[in-house]
Amino acid sequence: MYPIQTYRLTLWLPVAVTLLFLFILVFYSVNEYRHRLLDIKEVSRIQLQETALQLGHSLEYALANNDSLHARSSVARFSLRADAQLAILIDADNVIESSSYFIWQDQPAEKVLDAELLHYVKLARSQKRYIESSNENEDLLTFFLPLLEADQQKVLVLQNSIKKKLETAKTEILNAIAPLLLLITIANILLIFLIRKLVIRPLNALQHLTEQIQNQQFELINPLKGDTEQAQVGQTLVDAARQLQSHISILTENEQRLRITLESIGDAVIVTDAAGNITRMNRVASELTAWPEEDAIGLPLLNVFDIYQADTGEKLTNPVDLVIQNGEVVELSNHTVLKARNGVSYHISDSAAPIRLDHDRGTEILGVILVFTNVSNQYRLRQELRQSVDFLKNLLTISPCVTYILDIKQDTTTEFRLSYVSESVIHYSGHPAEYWLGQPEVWQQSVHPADINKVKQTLLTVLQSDKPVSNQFRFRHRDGHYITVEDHLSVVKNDHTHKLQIVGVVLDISEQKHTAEQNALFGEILEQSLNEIYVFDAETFQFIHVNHGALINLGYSLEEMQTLTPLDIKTDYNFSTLKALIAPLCSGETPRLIFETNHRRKDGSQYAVHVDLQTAIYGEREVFIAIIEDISEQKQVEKILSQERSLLRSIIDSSPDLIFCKDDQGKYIRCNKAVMEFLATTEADIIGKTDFDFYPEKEARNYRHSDQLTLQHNTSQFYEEAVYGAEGQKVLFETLKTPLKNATGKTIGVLGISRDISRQYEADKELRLASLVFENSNEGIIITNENNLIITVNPAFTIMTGYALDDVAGKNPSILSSGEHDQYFYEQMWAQLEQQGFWSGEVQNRRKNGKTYPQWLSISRVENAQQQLQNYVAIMSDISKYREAEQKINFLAHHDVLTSLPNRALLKDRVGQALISAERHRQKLALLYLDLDRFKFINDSLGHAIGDQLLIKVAERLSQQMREEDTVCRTGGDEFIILLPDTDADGAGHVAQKLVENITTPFEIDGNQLFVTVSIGISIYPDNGEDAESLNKHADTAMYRAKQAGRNQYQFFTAEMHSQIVHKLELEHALRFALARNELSLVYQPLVDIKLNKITGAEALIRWNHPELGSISPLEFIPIAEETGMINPIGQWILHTAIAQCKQWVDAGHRDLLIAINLSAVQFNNPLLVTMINTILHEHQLPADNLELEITESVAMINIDLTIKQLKSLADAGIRLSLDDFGTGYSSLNYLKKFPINKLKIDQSFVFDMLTDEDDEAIVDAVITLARSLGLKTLAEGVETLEHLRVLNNKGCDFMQGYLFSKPVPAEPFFNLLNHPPVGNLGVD
Amino acid sequence: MMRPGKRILYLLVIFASLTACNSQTEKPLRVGTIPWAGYELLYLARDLQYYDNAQIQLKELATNTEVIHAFRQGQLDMVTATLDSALQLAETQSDIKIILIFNISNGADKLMVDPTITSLKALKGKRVGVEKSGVGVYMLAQVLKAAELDSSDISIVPTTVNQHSFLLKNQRVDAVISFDPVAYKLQQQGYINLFDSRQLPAPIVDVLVTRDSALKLQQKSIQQLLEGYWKARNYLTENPQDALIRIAPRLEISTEELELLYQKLILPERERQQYIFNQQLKIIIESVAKMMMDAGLLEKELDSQQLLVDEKMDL
Repeated sequence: MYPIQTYRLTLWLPVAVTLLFLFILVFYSVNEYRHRLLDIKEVSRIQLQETALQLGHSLEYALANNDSLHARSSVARFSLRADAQLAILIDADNVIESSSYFIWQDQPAEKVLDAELLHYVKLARSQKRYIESSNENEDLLTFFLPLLEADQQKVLVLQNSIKKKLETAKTEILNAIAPLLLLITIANILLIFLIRKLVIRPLNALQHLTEQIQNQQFELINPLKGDTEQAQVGQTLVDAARQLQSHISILTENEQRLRITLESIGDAVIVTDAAGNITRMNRVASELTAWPEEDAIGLPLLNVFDIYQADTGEKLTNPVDLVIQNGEVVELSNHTVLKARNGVSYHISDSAAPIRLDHDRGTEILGVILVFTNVSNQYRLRQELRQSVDFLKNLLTISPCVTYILDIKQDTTTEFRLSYVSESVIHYSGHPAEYWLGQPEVWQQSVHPADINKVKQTLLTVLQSDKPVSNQFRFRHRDGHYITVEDHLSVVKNDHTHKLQIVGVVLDISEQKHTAEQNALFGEILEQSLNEIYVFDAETFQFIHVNHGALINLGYSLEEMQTLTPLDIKTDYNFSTLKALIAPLCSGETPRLIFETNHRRKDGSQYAVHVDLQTAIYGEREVFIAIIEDISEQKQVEKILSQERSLLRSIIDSSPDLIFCKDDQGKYIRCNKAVMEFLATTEADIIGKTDFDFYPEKEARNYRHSDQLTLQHNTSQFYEEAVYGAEGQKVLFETLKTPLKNATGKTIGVLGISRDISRQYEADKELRLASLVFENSNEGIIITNENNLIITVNPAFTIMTGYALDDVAGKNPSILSSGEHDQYFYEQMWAQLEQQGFWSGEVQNRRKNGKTYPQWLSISRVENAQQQLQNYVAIMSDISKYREAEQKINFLAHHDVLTSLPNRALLKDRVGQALISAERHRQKLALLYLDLDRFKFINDSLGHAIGDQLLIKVAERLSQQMREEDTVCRTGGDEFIILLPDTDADGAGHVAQKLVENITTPFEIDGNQLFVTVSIGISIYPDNGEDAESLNKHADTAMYRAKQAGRNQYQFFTAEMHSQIVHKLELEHALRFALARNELSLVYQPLVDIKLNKITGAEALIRWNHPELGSISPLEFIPIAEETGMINPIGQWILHTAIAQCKQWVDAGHRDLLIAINLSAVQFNNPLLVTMINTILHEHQLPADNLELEITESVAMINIDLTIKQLKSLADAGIRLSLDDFGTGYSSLNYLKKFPINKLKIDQSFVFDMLTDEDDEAIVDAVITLARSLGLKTLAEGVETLEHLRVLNNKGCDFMQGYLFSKPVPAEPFFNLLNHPPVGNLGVD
Repeated sequence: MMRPGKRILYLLVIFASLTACNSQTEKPLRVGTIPWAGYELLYLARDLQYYDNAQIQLKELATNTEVIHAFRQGQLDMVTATLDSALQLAETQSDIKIILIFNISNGADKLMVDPTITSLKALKGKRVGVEKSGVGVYMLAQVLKAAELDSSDISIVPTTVNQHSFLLKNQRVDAVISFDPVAYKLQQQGYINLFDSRQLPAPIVDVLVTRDSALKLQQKSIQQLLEGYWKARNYLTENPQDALIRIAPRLEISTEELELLYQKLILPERERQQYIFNQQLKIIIESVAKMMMDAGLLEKELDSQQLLVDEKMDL
């Protein structure tokens, strides 16, 4: 083990901790810094992208409105954004159109941008997509956005510098780690202080203590206190010193004792250290080795202890090395010779043991103690003894006999204990000597039970006899068989032990005995055998011996026979032929010779025999032994058998069935011709082989299996087996397998007859399949007979139509007809069926429950072999589900899944249609882009489920507000598009306003009250684009502007349209409050009777002064009031105010003053007009003839009948009537005649131009003439100069009004006017 | 010889204290301007590299309205403005300070009219484009006074200066109250100058406005800006030709035109500026404020002192 390197705690502990902390800190900071940089870059990139897209939208809008100033200031405003570096707009010619640096404006881009940026500009322009780039330091982000508006190919370049942000991030990180650094420093100082206090001082004290112990000062005091590890170490040192002191004294004493002991013992002792060097030896050792202790100490052991193997003289391994190697005691070894220093050798016995620190084996070996004794004398004696024992042992080992010794106990002579048995007992008994000696009594159990008493008796006999006795008995071998042994026993008296012993020698005689018995048996058998056995001399051929059977058969006596030779009884051979026959036998070529011949009896009769001839040695001479069998009967039977077999064979072979026999191992025994043909081989090649030789393994195993089944059941069995023939043809066999029995009735194999049933099987199969198809088909099947009456239907038909087979059997399939197809349809169908044999098509049929459904029907004519009509088969599939699915798919393809609103595809289609229609009818249409303003927030905070529900509700609310012809579409997310066909900007504005207001009503979803607002962008066809694409784009841009402008509002694509509509709606809105807020007022313009030079009337004119919008012309707001219906309350207010005012003036003395009030079309068409006016007149107590109502010519001409009726009732009420703006429209004089009016007003446009335009003058003349002819008065409007007055006066105009007299003035100044003549000097007479 | 452990500790302490004392740098000063000859000395200073561009960011916007708007929204720390705009700012934001007078209009603010209008009286019934600012209203009031017309006699179209050319050209207005160089360009296009700031009773003054917070937190940058401005002012005096060449392209006029333009502006030098600040500015502010109150452009009276920088602050 290596010592542990130690380090200075005071230094390394704080340094390590500090470094660790610093490392973590630095790692953390660097990581944090990098993450923050990435975040900053990503956020900046996204911000820039959004800014660019916003700015892009804004610019496109500005460009669409040709508002380059707005574009410039938008670009300039970019510089206000944090991090903004540069914004420029480059036009198609690469000239900078706008820039956040004004000095760059109108400069070529090449001058200010580097090549890379220019490259991106071109790329963005050509690819029509935005591009992002950043510089090498990644602190400048640049965004290139091509503006696609009107193909101007402008590119917006925005650049952000995030350098500052990156630097700030760095500083922040540094600032964040500074306090940590300080903390670590303080913690380190504290750590050093603690280490000094806790570790270093106790360590120094302990060091001092150890130095004292080193200086052998054992009386010590523990300098440390407290229950601490350090104090314990101190105490241990003090205790150790004390113990050390006592151990040293004990050791000194032991040393003395050991020395005395060593010197006094008789054995030689050498002690070595662990390295094998001698550290001590006693006197005896010195004498034996002839080394004095002083010389020996320190020498390696072998120098002194020079030992050899006694037998071989080889030098021995150092026992000390062995001990050290093994760590164990090396025991006495008796064959060692020690050579002393002086040359004398001793036989010694030695042993060596390790010296350990402790007795425990695990501890280290300090040295070895070697003990040895001079054994030279004992060694010699033992040597001699061993030689004689070895001799005896060898003797016994080589003997085939087993020698044993039985000890006899003196007191009980019947117990014979085995005390010795020679090794060879293993051959006799199978057990080794040790086995027998281990259990001295057990030998008796192996003696044959029948012999045991004899053996015991013999033993007793031997004891009493002086002579040896022998005995035979059987002895059991270990493997169970008995051997016969002969035992020779004699008694020996052991002088030494005074014991009686029986010594026995046993010999195995089993073999001899067995042979003798066998010979006797065979002789008898041969003698009695019915077969003839002859023994005759090889030389002379003279019979030597014949058995009893032969004698009887031949009819000779033995004595007669011995005079004969085989030639005498074999008629077929003479000497030479016989000699030739047996020549091979004589030469030893064959051991035996078998042949058939005839023998002649003594009476001359002959019989066929079978001869088996062998040579043998009989005594000293060579003889032949012939064994003869009489085979005459056998021959006869064979002949009959052969005839029958041949007959059977021809029957079997003529069978077309495969007939075969196999033995119980599956080997073919026989087979017929059919089998041979099937396997295309000969019978010889079949027999002896198995199915595995002819068929694939799987099939062969099956055949084998069925064979075995047959054998097991032991009855005939049928099997269907598919078999592959030699030519590979697959044939299906029906095989009958029957157990094959031999003559004794024992089953020896299987007889099989296989019949080819392939054709039958195929037919069956087809039939089954057809039936299966019929039963399990999903399509309904009807089969009719030739008269088209239903024979059968399948279950699918029943499921489909509801009719069971019983319901329809025997009926015509027309019961299914729904009646939706006409006669012609069926005629066509039948015609095709008859001609082509087949018809298919879609038909509507009726189910049993009366419902009709679409089905696909196929009908086939089925003809028999004679081509006569046999059946009709109709196959029908219900396609109602398919139709439904088709409709659903169709719906899904054109609708949004969530809201079921039309999707973008359908919208596109509708927009296309609407555009065509709008173009044809010169209508407008509006496209509204809606975007929910707070939807993302709701989705993120409340979850998608709520978001989805909100979208559904919003969709519902939007749809509710639309007309039928409008299309509301959801294009995904929170965006909706609404198509309003035949709608102009005004209408679209109204709709948008309504939507914006309506959507703010909170939505109630799952207990949440959700408030959303919408931003709507509107584009109008054809003002903002003539195709769907530009309308979409512009509506989107407008929507974006609505968002930018603060959401919850709508915006038109162009500012002009927007401001017009907004202004109009603003007016509309303001007008609703105008009455209530007293913003309306009346002014009065004098009507002057020019003849009288007097103001005889006042035309009440309405004025609207809005606090913010200023004064608004009636021309502007009256149409709006008419549109919105506000005209009714306003009209009433005018009537009230004007009539009340007139009443004041009348009361002030101007009794005849006429108040003229204009009626709008809406008012005039009100059937309650007369009643209302009467009520008001009554209310203010103004006589009806002080009131004059003016209607314009165009109003009067709208519905002439109504006009006449209305005017009449007004006239009847005494109210005066005048026709305003006369001459501007076209009036039929016919009707004019019927109007009960008092006055025609000549429009100011004619009056104004009358002096310069002859046409106008002609009109004025005509009007005045017409009025006169109808008995009406005339009033000229817009009289501004005296010239006007003069001319009109000359033409005979009755009344005038205009700036010449006064502009319209409020009531008070008007009253002042009343008292003065309107014209000081008329300049006319 | 110091023990190594101690040495490491001392190093750590020094390092830690160094990083902890990392000083906070000033935020860049964002100055909003519009193209106007009076403000161009700021750009001249930038062109002459008197500024640290990272620290002083001049933002070029199109109109005064935008500049004021951005300032109100806190997107700018300092803006160039007409005095009346400054006062309007001060009405809603009490921490506004005027720290520099750029110029005193000496004919640079003008009424430009369509050539068909030959006299001020002919303005009656016409549409006049006016920026809804103090100067605009002030000019308009003085024009009407000179024309002896009432405000109801004309219709007022609210505009910003960058729209003037467009509006006149498209006959959306008949006259505009504008200022150079836009006015000058209009003059070149054939429109007539009927009235200018020399005819005004109180001077039109352009000033540099900032907030108290900027004065406190961005003092160094502001000082640098002002120093740069004064150096540029000297440069204009000493190298007028080069200065004009540098300035003119930004206003998209020639140097000759620019020179003419500067004749219509008084750009007070440092000593003069000091004098105006100490002696006259208060009075000017008060008179302008009164005029604006009369015109309804200011709702409450302003303490003119609050607009001026404490004398102790050395700028």
